[in-house]
Amino acid sequence: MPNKPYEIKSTDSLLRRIPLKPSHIFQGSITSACFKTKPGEVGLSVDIEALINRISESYNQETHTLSRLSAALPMELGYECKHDPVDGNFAHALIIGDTNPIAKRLALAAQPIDPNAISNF
Amino acid sequence: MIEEIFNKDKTTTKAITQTGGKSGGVESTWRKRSIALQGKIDSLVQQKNILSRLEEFQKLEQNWDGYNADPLSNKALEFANTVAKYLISAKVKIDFCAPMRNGGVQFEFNLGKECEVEVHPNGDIYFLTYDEAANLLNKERITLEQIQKHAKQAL
Repeated sequence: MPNKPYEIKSTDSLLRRIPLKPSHIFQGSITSACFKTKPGEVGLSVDIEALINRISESYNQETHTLSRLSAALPMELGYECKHDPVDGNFAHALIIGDTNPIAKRLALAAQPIDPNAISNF
Repeated sequence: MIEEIFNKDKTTTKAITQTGGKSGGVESTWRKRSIALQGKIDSLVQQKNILSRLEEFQKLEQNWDGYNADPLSNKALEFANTVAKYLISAKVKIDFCAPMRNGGVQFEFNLGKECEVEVHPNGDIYFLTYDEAANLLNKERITLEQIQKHAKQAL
């Protein structure tokens, strides 16, 4: 795994964990609440799929499911996506800025990943 | 914006009521009563579901989403309870109710447009509307009294 900063491209996929308790998915759609930054946050945390070795190890399947989002969407909406490695998670990245105005767009585009499919990764 | 949205719903409700009344007679009266009763049952079921979900939110601790989300504030839960009752009394079908990462509560429903009501941890309430592509059209701060007023008008 290279340790130099990764430049996120529009073709990259971004992953965000979605809590299962309580459920945040209604009729297959993720609530926009998952994609809204809190006041004071620099941006919305995601992981860059290309930098993850095993997706199934990137989250706790008992408490979360995973959603996949194309980096192209926030970029098209004028948001910078920046690699932001943190301790224990080199794949961590941020969608920079207040994502409240675009949260529903992100939620609509994000696809929950089937846990059964994940176990095969 | 909130006036337009609720009034649109009111027009729809009236149209349905008028259509139901055209046939007249005993059968129509029973049908109306049956629809009204079903509506009340649906409202009670919806209210019970929302209230039990809000109770579930009370248990959330710091970092409940794995991204350092805040626990829900008592004020947000209290106001959310009231908002839910007003919306349900106005026959708004709440599609989803979610905890917000800042310690608030969010309601999602459709009144011809996708709508959200955000109840923030300090008690501030916002009414949001979206277009079909989920673009934010409007976000305005509203009060509990405004929701109650418009809910009553929508009946």
